[in-house]
Amino acid sequence: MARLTAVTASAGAGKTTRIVGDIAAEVAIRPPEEIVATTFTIKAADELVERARARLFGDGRTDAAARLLGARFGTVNAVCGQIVSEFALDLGRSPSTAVIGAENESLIFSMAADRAIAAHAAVLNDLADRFGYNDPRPPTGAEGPDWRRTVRRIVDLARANGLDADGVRVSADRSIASCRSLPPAAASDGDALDTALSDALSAVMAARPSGLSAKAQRPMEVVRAAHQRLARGESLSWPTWARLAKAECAPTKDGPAFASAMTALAAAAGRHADHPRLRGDIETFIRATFDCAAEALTAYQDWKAQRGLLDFTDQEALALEVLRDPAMAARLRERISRVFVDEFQDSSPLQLAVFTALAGLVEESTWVGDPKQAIYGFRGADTDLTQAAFAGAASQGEAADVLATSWRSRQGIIDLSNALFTPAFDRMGLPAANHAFAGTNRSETGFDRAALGWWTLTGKVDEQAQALAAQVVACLDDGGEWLVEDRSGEHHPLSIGDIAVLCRTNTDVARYARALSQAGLPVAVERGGLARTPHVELVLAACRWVADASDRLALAELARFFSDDPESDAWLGAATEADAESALSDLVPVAEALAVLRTDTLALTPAELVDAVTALPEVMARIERWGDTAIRFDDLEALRGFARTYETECVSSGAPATLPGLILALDGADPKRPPSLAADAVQVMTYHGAKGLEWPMTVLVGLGWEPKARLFEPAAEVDGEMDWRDPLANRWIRFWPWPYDSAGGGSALEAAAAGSAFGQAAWRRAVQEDTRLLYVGVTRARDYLIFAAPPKRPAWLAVLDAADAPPHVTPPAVEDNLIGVGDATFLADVRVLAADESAAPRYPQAPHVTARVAAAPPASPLFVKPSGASGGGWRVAERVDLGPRLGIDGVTDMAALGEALHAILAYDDPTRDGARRLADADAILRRWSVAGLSATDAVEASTRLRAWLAERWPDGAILSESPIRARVGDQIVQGRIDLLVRHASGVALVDHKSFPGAFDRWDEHALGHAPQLGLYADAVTAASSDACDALFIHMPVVGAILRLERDSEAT
Amino acid sequence: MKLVFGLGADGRIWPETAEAAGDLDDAVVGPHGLVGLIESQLGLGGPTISHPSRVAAWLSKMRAAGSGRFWAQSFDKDPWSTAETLLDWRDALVDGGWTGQRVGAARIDDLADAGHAGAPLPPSLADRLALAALSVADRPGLRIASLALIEPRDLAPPAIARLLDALEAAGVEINPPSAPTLAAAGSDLRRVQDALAGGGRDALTGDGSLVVIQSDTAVMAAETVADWLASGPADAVILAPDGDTALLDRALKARGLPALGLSGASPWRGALQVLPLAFATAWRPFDARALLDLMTLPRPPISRWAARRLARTLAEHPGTGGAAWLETWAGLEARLLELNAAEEDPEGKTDQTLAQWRAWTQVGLHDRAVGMPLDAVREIAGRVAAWAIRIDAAGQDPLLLGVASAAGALVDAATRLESPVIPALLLERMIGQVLADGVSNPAHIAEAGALRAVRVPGALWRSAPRVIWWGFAGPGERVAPERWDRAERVALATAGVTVETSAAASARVGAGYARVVMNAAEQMLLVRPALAGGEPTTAHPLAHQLRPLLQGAADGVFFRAERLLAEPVADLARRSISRTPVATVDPPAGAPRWTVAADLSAVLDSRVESATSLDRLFNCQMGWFAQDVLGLRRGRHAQLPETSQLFGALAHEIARRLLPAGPPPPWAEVRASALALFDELLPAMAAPLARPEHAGELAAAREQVPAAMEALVRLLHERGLEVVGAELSREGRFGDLPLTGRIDLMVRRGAEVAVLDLKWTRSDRRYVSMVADGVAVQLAVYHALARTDGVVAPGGYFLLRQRRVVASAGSFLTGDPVEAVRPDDDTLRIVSQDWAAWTALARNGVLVAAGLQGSATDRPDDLGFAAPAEPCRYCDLTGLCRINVEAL
Ligand code: SF4
Repeated sequence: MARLTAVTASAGAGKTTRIVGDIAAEVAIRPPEEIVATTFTIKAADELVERARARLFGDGRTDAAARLLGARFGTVNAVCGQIVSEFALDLGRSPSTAVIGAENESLIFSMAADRAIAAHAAVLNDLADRFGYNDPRPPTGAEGPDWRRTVRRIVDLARANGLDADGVRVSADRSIASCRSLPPAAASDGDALDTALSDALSAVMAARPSGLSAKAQRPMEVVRAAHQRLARGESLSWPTWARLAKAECAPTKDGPAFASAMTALAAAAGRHADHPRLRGDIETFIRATFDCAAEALTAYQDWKAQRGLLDFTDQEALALEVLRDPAMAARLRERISRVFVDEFQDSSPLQLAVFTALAGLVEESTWVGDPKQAIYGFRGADTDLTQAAFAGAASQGEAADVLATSWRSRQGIIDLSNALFTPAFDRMGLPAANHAFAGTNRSETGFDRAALGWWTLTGKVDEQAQALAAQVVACLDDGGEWLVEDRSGEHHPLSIGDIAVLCRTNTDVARYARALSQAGLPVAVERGGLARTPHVELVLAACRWVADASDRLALAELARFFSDDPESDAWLGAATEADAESALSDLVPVAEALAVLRTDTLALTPAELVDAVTALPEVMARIERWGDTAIRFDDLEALRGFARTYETECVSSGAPATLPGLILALDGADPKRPPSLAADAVQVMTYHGAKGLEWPMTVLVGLGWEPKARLFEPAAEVDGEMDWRDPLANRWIRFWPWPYDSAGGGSALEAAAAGSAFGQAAWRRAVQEDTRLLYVGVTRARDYLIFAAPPKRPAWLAVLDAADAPPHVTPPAVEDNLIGVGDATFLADVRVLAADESAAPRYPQAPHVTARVAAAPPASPLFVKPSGASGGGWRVAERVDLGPRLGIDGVTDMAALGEALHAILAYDDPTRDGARRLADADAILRRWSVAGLSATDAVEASTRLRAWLAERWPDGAILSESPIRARVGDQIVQGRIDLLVRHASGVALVDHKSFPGAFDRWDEHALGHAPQLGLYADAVTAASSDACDALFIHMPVVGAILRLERDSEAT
Repeated sequence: MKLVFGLGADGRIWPETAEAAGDLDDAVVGPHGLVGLIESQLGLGGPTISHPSRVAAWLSKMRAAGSGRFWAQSFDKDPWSTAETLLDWRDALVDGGWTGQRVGAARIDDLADAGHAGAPLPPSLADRLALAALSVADRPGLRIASLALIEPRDLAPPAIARLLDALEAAGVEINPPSAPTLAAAGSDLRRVQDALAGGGRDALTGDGSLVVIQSDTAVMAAETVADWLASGPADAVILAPDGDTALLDRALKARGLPALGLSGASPWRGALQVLPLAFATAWRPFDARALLDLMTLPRPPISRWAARRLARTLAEHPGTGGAAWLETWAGLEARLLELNAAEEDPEGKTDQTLAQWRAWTQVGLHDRAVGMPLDAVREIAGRVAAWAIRIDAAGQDPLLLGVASAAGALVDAATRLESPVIPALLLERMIGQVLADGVSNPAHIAEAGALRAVRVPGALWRSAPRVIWWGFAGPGERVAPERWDRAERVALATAGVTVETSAAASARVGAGYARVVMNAAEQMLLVRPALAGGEPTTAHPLAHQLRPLLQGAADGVFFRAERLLAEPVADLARRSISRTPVATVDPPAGAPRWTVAADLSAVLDSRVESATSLDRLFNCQMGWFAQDVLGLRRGRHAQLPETSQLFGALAHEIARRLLPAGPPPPWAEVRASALALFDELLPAMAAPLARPEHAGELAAAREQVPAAMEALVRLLHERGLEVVGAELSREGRFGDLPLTGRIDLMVRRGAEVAVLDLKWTRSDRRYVSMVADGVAVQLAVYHALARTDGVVAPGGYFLLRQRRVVASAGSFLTGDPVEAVRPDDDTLRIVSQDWAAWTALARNGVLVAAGLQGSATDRPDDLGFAAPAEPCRYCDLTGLCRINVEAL
């Protein structure tokens, strides 16, 4: 393997600076185009290229900087995608490489996998029923399970792990075998279990008392339904078994007979875990799901290959194919020679395979990353693997290449981070020597407060959020107490934009964002509900009414939005009037403008219509008057973005893009609101989203989180020792279906799975991932790190505990201000926060607005083409007979004839050799496919025109096809003049018209073109100040020239 | 003739002319303009051939070149894109001076062979440049005297460089670019210009000559630029590299300034949709959505009223050929006859129109797996073109002409393929291609005034006082990696072909960016939104170059656009922008109680309630009033029913057909006949279910629906029931409550009748608990409607998927009744009582919106139906009621 360096860079330790420096050194010794620099987000890739080029420009190395434009900077997908499109033909794929948008993926998959799904639907639908997939879902709004989604998940995993259809089928065997090994063993006689249950049910039904206890009500519903099902000869679903196994009642109220029947029932149902049919169902389900996935995988890949569609996985997998093929790789080696990978720890196995193959191809590779910040296990990154690869690569370098000095965080934060994480990381194989902070470049001078805080949040979850919000307000009120340091080293009071609140779940993001908003703070957060903000609703209501005039609801909404009084009932009054439509329209100042827009729908695209509606002066003014304009504009921008994405998605799905279609898509998608970019807003986001960012004050919430190992969904597994040089070797997909729907908690199956080797490994991975995520959170803070924790010891911090050891972290005791970590203690700002009902209402920022004109008068067009001119006031002043008509009887395409004649008249020159003239004319006629006119006739037309010109202006200079562009008034006239004669007293213009009409129509035809010539004449005069009063229409086909004059000239 | 020539000078340029007043017989031209002039002077011109036609011609040549070529596998999969790609390769080679000869490198020789096979290929720009360069030497007629270059000659790409050489050899004077007028010495702009020219770097002072405007959003960027232009002379050149100034123009118009008029070409303009839609409907399985889209276009291809009717039918019963469909056509015919009554031959005229219309709805004619015959392609494209020309009515609307010419280009390209049947994928590719170039908005034009816009850096070819770079964001022009490997490049070089290297392209592109700054004589504004169209933007390559120059710049060099929203006066680039503070008003807020002043008795007296309206009333009186009384409903957007609704409708129709009045059919045959009906009715009323993405559901339903029918018939037999009728419309009255409804299935045993409501649902729990809790309003209404004698008939739900009856005790429909808290007639009585209480409240002008806090206060006392837990969950009026509004 060629030179390979691994650089370990702790959080905030300046890795981009390092890479930029390396690149600057590289361009001195190799062609800049041969550099590849890749990372995981567009933003990071953009920063990398910007800083690298800026550095070179700054150093005065302009040439190298310019050539770096041709280098491959980009996300892993962009870089792989580029390789794939360069080698598409070698790969035998369609060379069109359209990337499938996330919105379209599932539709495209289901279309491609149609046959595979239909083929297995009978079996899988049936089993899915038995697993309770169709049972009503708990009302949380969560999507129900769907075997088709599982199939797709398996297909995705297979592709991400380099498995083909056979690999998928093998995975089925492995999944079945591993599942079979879970205790308990199957009972021998399933029928007996069924009979026992059926009997127990009947017994319960018979013994039920007349008035049931509250406790027995719900179980009895299940019993009754199950009893009816059995009576109908249908079998019971496994969730029903599981629920019956938990049947209970109130023995005193319901009576002992019923209670014992219920107990017997629970016992009989409790046998579900060793029911041979359950085992059989599970195995059949696994087999059928994988079979379906294997077929779907093949179909999906073929479908995309034919249509030139790619998703992100394909880009990587195909790039790997290129890299692994000797011939293609050899060609690629000519083009790239140096590779940088940033954020290496986030690689998926497939990406790692790509990086490893690249490293084998080029002269030198540098992998920069931080195994402590690998947090994308949930979307397919294999941390064990990247960590091994990182260690392996590092061991090849001469000395450990480590960036361990923080440029970001204050000493207190650095110290705490080391104390918190060093033991846990050490247990994970990340030794302190490479992974603890060595120190910080930040200075403590100017700070008079400790860098740490421990704020205990009390009350229910919503109250906790309110309590935190109130404390944030308090900190801001006392901003001077919380000095922060900016990049230039100056200290200033804490302000809104300095604060970030990091959450574990999106639900928490929404919750804290809401609480902060309610406390009067602007928040910048990506969150749902774009279409539920008043400003977007206003625009959408207007769009709906444009799309469909019968949408009276939209009109009523508009009437509400345009009222100054938030509780005005004018809309209701209008809606109850006899002519509600016009009464409502009267309340909507843009009603007329919208009606006009409705007539424009043929000319505008859906996205342009959204823009047009938004930009209506009254709409803008209305939105501005609601205050906080910047935030509202952010949302409107997101709406514009949605509309544009909708249009692009239409391209790949082949659907048309229409305004109603856009509105429907919006209804279905519930698009997100963008994180505000406003500098003066509190940032609320997930820990995952915070990666790569930093804030002066970082508040960590969601600390009650507990690790979760998800065992009953498809997951990639590796056999034996993993080899980081061959990251895709020995991989398979394990899938154990969950047969109990929302029931079955605490079942034998659950316990067995958790206790299995797979379960334990998954648990270990979950704990480690949560450790790293916590590290990411802690290391976002520049000046203040606040733990906003629940009153109980925060469960998340337990991931730092060593096995069988006391808790690693001790929260501050009451009335104390020390956080205990291991043997050390850390001084912190300690508070107990409680929600306060009296939160001040929020006052929006008073908007400053521009005066807008409602309906600007239509201005005259800037550019004028004479060919479009029209008007009267002309007459034919002179008629010249040039000769007989040309024979054009065989001509079918008059437009082509006209073009060809123009070309011949422009090019032909009677002074040239006759044969040559004929040959040239003939060539032109053939190019225009004009069969019906002879070259001889065409040349004759030219000859007689020239003769006439020579006679009329013996000394005139003839210019054919002469371009003109001139300012006439405030307009610009542009075009080409067919023929222009410069003569002693000015300029004459001749316009050819291949008009074949009869004599009596010549005048009319010529006059039709008079305004055009007139405008040319004006332009000529404007441009040259030559008089231009001789205007002619030349009709070569009929052999005539007509001179045109303005009526006024005659008088 | 004196020309000014630059690579970016085709299209909109600034200044438009070399001489202030105008150019006569002189011009500023780009490559297209230059080659066009030379061609007309040398007699070389010919018709313009559309890009798709060139691709199609090349495709045939590749096919003619035979098998075993390096593109073989890709060509098999996607001939169109393969041809398009390789045509691009071939054109680039020609650009490098290739004349189509073999050079001894396999891939290039394959291209050479294709070039020689088959019919001739229409020329590309590269071909035309090459021919022009070749011809200037020996053809007479050239009358270009001089050519002043905009860009340095050494940066010209190979084909241009060769043409310049040839022109020079033919006696044309080639002049180097003239030096720009730089900004005043000492100004920030000048400092940057000096540094870009290789001079030293001085920190910027913020004098407003060079300003980077940073905004969060493109919307705010437009506001800012428009404000700036409005607060001083509105004379600037705006460089808009995405070629679209629509957003900015709207802001300018709102300030009374002229529009810049750059409109992006888009395939998504309303009129262009007809072409792909017309083809989409022609395939099997039939795409109901496409036909619906076609019928709901702003200008559908058939009369709008007729299109609306068909659309409504389609939206309810998506399919063609079913009963509803035929009925609608009969209606159209009747209406046409009426309209044509005054004509000479009403029948003939009507038949003619109907035939025309039917052409658009004759759907599903061609099997995707087979492909479409060329004649069919011609017919459909011809129909579309004819439509466009007809509605254009010689109005010369560029958009409609664009549709017609796209259709023409499609036919031309299809013909050039020289193949009788065109595979579906290939055809779709071609349609995509003819639309891909799109059409710009003909109504969006530049208006007279002192503002100008250009699309590319090179179009600003001379110094302008004020330059605004709108959308100063990445990625800029992409530089493609080398296409040929080393051996191929050697072979090419030996043959005299020099393709432009990526290094040369980078240098050319980079120099072009810097020239924009050099061409700003007084002020340069760079406008970068952080979000454009919702996507985060990246830095422009020129920004990389400016970054070191702007480091440490004083205040005033960077301007945050959002400041304008918060400050009465802001200084931006030597202008002071004033805005007026206004008092905020709150957006509309929700209210639990509304009052109506008007007398509502007339409206309320005339009402007849249905199960649906009563359900709504008991859920939320406001919801009922607004939707059922006032008709405030969402419009009839083209929305097809959801999958489960389609299955439900299908099952209902099958039940109706299987169960005529009288004794039930023998149940042994039911399953088979239900299956036959299922397959027959699917394309007629539930076509979307046959689409590939529904494979899973369809497989399930094909099993479940017949099984459900069997179970239903078995139930009738077991319980000794006869069918009275299916889908029976009934009106009736219970006490004061006037009712209407349609009963799914009425059965009787002896003299006793009962109603069955068929439901296609995932969950039986909901229906069981409705019956158990005595709140099944729908059943109650049917109970009342079933009999005319005022006696309440029993009834229940038949759950099709679960194949079970849900009915309370007292019904003879089931031996396994649900225990209900009250008898059916009690439920009906409560329905009527609650209705009376709510309508009385409405008569007093009081409306209660159940979803808002405090609504309990105004609820009438003693209602039978409890207040719902989540009234707004399925309500369309949340926007009107301001439910779930997001906080800022
Ligand atoms: S949104 Fe809620 S409150 Fe408003 S009408 Fe609908 S159900 Fe009633």
